[in-house]
Amino acid sequence: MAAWPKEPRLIGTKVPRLDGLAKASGKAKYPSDVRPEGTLFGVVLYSPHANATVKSIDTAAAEKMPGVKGIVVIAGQGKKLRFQGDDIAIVAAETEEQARDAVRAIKVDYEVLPHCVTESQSMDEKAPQVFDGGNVRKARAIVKGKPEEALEKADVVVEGTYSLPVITHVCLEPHGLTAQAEGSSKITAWASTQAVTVVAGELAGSFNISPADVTVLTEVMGGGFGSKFGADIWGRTAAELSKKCGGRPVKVFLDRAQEHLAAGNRPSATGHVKLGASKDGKLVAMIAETYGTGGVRGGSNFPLPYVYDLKNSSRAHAEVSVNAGGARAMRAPGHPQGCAIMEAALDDLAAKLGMDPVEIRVKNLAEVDNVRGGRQGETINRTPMYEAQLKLGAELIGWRDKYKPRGENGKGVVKRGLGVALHQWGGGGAADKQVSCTINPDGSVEIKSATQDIGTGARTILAMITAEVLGLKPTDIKSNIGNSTFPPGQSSGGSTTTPSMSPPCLAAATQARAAFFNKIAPALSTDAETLSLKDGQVWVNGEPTMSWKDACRKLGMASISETGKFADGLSSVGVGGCQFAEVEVDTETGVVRVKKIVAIQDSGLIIDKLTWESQVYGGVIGGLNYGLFEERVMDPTTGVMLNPDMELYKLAGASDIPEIIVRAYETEEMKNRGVIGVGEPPTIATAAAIANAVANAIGVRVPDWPMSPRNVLNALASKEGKA
Amino acid sequence: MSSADSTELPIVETSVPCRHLRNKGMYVYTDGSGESHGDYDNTIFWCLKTMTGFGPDDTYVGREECCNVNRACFEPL
Repeated sequence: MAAWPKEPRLIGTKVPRLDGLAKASGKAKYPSDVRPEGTLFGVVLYSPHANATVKSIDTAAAEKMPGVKGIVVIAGQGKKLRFQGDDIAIVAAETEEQARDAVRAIKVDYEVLPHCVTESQSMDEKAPQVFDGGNVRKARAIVKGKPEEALEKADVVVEGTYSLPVITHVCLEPHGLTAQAEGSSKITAWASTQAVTVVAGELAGSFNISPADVTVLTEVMGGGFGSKFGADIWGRTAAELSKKCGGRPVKVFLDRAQEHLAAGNRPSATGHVKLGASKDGKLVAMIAETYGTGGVRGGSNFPLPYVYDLKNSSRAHAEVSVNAGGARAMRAPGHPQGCAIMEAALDDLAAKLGMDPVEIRVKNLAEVDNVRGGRQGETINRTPMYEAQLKLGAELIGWRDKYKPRGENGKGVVKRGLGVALHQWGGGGAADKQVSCTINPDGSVEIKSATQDIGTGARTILAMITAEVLGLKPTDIKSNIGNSTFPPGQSSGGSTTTPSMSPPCLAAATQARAAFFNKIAPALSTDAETLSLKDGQVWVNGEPTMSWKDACRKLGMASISETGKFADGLSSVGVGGCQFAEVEVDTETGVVRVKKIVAIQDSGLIIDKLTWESQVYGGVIGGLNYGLFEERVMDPTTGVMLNPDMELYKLAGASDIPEIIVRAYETEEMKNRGVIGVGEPPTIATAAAIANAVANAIGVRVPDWPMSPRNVLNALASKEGKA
Repeated sequence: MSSADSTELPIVETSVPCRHLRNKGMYVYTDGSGESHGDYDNTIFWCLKTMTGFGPDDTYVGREECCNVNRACFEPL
């Protein structure tokens, strides 16, 4: 059975990204940087209205504009436009400016219809229908035990309504691709995607050509977070325009406004929760009625109860449709919402009971919460892991010295508070992926797979594993990914890339090493079994005998190439973590400043500790944005988004980032589980921990995220009976 | 589709979705392991034909909706 090295030389160490310098210096060319010879620039005309029908569209004037080479109408006469940002047409021209001028010259006659862009508008009985079937669709209700009965018997009950807004995807590199058609049957696309094989497959399917005739290239990419899986209508239209324009490349990337309007978002979540417990803080029941909106697309459901053991619970969720851009997966879909609502209610319960928030969490973990272990059929109880993580996190935030009960944080204007929250995620590997490893006579080593680096360090991780097996440095390995024609690689979603790609990479390098030994052993007058690799040398019977490069020359003219496949026992699934936040709240201005965050995370065997930590830092910062700043603001009257830019759509600046302490919960037991992904879990609990810290500081729950001055001041006013 | 129109065909659902129905999980959990959601479903779907959340018939794309063989755009696997 395949196994990770017991005493690794590289795995688990901190190795800088192989492409870090290129990215930092600007040398790396992102898909939106790529401009093949003859590139035409595509600009999207999109709906200015939240709800309308296209009565007529006239592109004649636009077609005659200077530089215009092609126009594709997406929403023709009679087509419904369901949100501001809905696509109408794309113009391709010699320059971006010419394309923008032509877009302005397209004449569209709209029948503007009544809209609903907020949940309250949409749930009104007289609301216009976003689409046939009703604006509110109820999910299957989930009932466990006898929640009503248990709640009646509870010693203490809290009841509250908590809400989180829609937040939009804000990838630094916008959505899009540059497509070049060759004749009627071949397409090359330079795509900003987290799934090169998916984009290739979708373009092939869309034009009814073979996937083998589509090449999608993503050398590097500027963020996806779940929103960049398919070719999208923009990519497909770019390819269509390229066909129309004689095979000239056509570049279609969204502008920042349309990114906010149409490129996906995390749905909102509102939960009315009743939570009951016994006097000692043991939860007995939860009843939750929740709703959320994913715009015109759905997807607002989320896990609740979350993490904690509840024998009696009921949950009813309603999906609310509004005339606004549709949801897409966003880093740990559903979990940040479920975590925030659960953790807020639990914290409010702890405050009512006068219990320590850490203590009530430990008390309510399930006795047994099994996740997959390292070997087939083996399980590990996650509860002791959570307990150890909470203990470590409490030490690092200084809980014992700093924690004071809610509302007892001094009499000054600026209050300090502490908060905590727990989370969980899957992050396993997909079993059908492959990596090829080629050793060349000149000593160069190349690995290939049709995966891509969404920013997690995939390129570096694969090089580290290969270098570990071949006794080389990671920089000796050409880690070739981001090409859909390579051996099947994993799409980067669900924190599955590293656990999917590491096992076949280990197999490919191990197989290549064995083939290499068999080939050179006769030339070294020894048996393959006597050979090993270390420090760039070939060792015979434990003695360094020949340099790697000299040994590779013994291969003659033929390279060695092996393809490795996924093997069980090298990766696993199911992680947990906890985060602590320390905040300062100015009770006069409502401004919250996060002073410190502690993030404890388990994720099995860590390959590159440096990129692992980077993911946790990034996840925490994303969660901080969710906790403090982000909010899509819709105007109920006009139906438009009021902040589709990076000025009024608030994100943290450098001075908003607190001290962040990251610790891996990485015991031998964890290492034996194999590789598990960490892209998503560390962003889940941050907003919940921050909100709990704010409540601890000011003595009242701020029930609406983000913890903005307006929401904080509203909560303080409510506390004083002024709301 | 208006429920008041008696001339409309009844919705007949199959357990097999249209071959153009897509969601992220199809591409991530290609070995069939699936997302361990159990108690909730927040899957977001799109149509390969339109690459949006609405099909060629301008109707919502979803798990149940795209099992409806009476949709004009339905194509079996």
